Amino acid sequence: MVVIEAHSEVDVPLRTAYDQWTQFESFPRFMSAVRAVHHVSPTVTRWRVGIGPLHRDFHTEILEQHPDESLRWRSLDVRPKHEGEVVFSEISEGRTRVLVRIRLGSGGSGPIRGILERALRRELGAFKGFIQGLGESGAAWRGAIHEGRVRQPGEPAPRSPTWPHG
Amino acid sequence: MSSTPNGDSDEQLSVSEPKTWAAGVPAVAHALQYSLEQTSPRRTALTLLNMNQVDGIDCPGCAWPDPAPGHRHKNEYCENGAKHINDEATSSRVTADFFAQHPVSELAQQSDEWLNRQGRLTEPMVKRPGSDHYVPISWHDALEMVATELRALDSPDEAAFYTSGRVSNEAAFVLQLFARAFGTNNLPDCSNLCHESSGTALSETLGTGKGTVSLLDLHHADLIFVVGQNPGTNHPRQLSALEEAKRNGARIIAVNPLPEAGLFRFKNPQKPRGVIGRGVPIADQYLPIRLGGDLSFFRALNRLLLEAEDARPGEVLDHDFIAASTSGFEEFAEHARSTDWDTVLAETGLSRAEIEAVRDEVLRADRIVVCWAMGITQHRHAVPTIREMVNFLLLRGNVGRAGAGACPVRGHSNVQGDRTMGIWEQMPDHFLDALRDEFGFEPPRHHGFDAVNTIRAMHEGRIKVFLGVAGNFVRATPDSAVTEEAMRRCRLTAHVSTKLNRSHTVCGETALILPTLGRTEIDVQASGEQFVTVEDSMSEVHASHGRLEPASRVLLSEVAILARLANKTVHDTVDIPWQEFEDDYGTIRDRISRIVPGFHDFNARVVRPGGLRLPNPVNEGMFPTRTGTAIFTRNDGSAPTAPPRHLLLQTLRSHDQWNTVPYTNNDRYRGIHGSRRVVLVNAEDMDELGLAERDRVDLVSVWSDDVERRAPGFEVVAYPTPRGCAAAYYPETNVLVPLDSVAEVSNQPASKSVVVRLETVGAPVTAGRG
Repeated sequence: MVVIEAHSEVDVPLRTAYDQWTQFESFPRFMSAVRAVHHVSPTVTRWRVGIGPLHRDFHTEILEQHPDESLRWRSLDVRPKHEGEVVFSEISEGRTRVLVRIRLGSGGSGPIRGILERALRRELGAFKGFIQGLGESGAAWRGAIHEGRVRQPGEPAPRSPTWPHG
Repeated sequence: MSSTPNGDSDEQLSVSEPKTWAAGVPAVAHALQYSLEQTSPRRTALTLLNMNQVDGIDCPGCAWPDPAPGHRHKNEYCENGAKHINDEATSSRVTADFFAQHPVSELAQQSDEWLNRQGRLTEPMVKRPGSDHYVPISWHDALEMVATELRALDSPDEAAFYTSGRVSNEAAFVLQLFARAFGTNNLPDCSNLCHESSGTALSETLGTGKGTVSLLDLHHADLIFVVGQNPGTNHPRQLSALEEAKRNGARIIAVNPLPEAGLFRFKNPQKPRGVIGRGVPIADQYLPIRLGGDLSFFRALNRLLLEAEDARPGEVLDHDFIAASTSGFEEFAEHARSTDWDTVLAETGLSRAEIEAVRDEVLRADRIVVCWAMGITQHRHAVPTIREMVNFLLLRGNVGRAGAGACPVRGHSNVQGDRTMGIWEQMPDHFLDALRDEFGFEPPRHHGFDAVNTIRAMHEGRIKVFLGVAGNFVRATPDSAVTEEAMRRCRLTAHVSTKLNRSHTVCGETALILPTLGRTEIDVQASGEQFVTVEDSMSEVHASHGRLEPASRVLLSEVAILARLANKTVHDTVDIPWQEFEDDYGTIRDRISRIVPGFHDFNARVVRPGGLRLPNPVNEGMFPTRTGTAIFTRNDGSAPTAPPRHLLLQTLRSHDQWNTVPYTNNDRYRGIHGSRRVVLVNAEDMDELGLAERDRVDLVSVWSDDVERRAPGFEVVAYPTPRGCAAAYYPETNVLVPLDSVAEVSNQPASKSVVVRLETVGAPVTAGRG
């Protein structure tokens, strides 16, 4: 197990930073290695990452998500197998620390680790530039996830037909 | 091959060993052979290369979902889908001359296969009272005739509007709107016959009438149960998903009275190892369960899990989930602990060691999916069985998270979507309120008839007009003699169809054939070329674009037929823009977006690659049940039994068959060739009953009434099914299923637990196995 870690301090309130992070579909706008992100379900996203002509698709499952605090995820596919977490903490009013920690199931040792860590720092820097440029988040998902299961804050009306389907 | 009247074939039965793997090169060869027999290489290429592609034709063959855009094969279909789509694309035509040559009484003697083989219907036809011939009629006169009969009824409830799962969302929405604007909720559908038990049980326990999983969940499950389901024949593309799951390390447990080929090994013809290699093993454990023993099996499994928790407190059950999101656990657990092993072993035919081995698999799995189909839903105690399967999932928190959940595998391509669109005799008030607010009329609130009750009502003269949109009602339903008599008692029957079937020949005093476009065909209306939408078994809604020239210039689309009929029938009582609907299906989708939850921005979202996925409340942390939680249930009920010298019969379809339509008399996975009139029986039962291989028998069902139900002229074939069980093909054996033999609560025909005796007739046919 190899752990890589990076953090960034962004000049926006904690809630703004967190809310923007929940909008995964926007990641390709600022992350150079992320080509597309698609929400499959509240807990599952499909990612396409790549460099130049090469790309790889994989799915991640969010295992824990606590608004304004943290997200923890794991990759669902066999390769590239990884787990990760992002932790948000308020440094001062209007300034937030974003820490990303990724555990790789295999590989990532030696010089590869350094490359990955630099890439992670670069992408976090891009996030900083993006959210500071916006100054506010767009939409946000404020739900919580515990053990891979959505926890609704209340009991909103279902958004789909719930009558029996034969 | 040819068939003679009464469905007998002049082919001889031959029997070989059942196959232990599915698909591979033979699947490709059989698909191409049938396709090229039906139509030209060009049309075959057009259909196959467009099947299940983004902007292509949704395969009408089954409701299995497609992989995400960008992850689809160029050949994204299975053998049965290829056969089915080219069966529709056939170059053969049924014309007015055909009907002039063949009186209805003669057509009524022909087999299902012969009728289907005649080709596509090309123009509206009418059989008038007292006549034995269909003759041409204009669309105007045909629809006027139906409208006049409808308007002449004493009550709107004297009409029934049947839907089969081929019908698109748009046509289904128009049909239910028409029926309700006319004043009735009599909307029987094919769901009543296949998965009504699933919807009933899931709604009660999880608060959703649909399955909770996606393809991705299957791909990433640790353990998958395939229960009462034959994916190799009925949902072959599911095998690709199971193959992917195995590649990711999943284990699979198959529970089925028959050792179906697709449960054991899959040779994916799209991959080199599937063409020249041995393929992928599917089931890690196969449980040859007795018919209807599934409730006992899951009760025993749940008891074992509770006992495992006793032995290792806090390690087996998902206590957090049970406490936070469920109700009824204590009562369920008390009941489950009382499960009697002697009963379990007798009802399942399994050993305790086999069930304990399953428990061990479960304990090693973090994420579990349970798949099932009609081997579960068509039993008297189907609803309790599915509720018990839900109990099993809830115990370890296997709902509402990735890689886990409930997966009822549906058959017809839009059977789920039609129900979403409101094709149900018991739609809830909030849906009817939305219809009222949108269209300015008061829909009827009293419940209508489902399929079984429609047959009863027709038989008793309470329904006088029957409109069937797609499907083959007479052959899809039970108790064939009663159903046929019921249809013949109608004042008028009308069928919107693509091909000839028995429902056209067993008809009312006046009968109409209203020929329609197939899903493969280009559909041009006043606003331009149209597409339709469908919803698959995993709640993904996407577009389907026809690609072929229509079979006839006279054909109308289903939407056009229904919109024109509605306009002629209810134009003076409701103000609904039927003509606008016909001219531009987008206007129908606009209305759907305002009425059906989850369809907001329908027109915009459905044209995106892959369409849209309807959210499932369970996956959003909601259980819209009566308690607001997932509900554990206490399930009683015993497996069906047969008296001495009787067997339990399940009706099933052959590999070379699509719903009620057999393409040939072969069932190659089960090693049956040349005849469909075979009954598969355990060899020891044959000995006990004094039967030899190929003995000719009549199947006679036993029910609480004094009616004799007989399916004559079947040949006995020894087959590895559990003692006391037998199997034979439907629709030939639907005659044996009493109309009153239905699943508790769901009222679904119990076609998998028919008590029969085998009466020997004549001398054995001489031929051997091999």
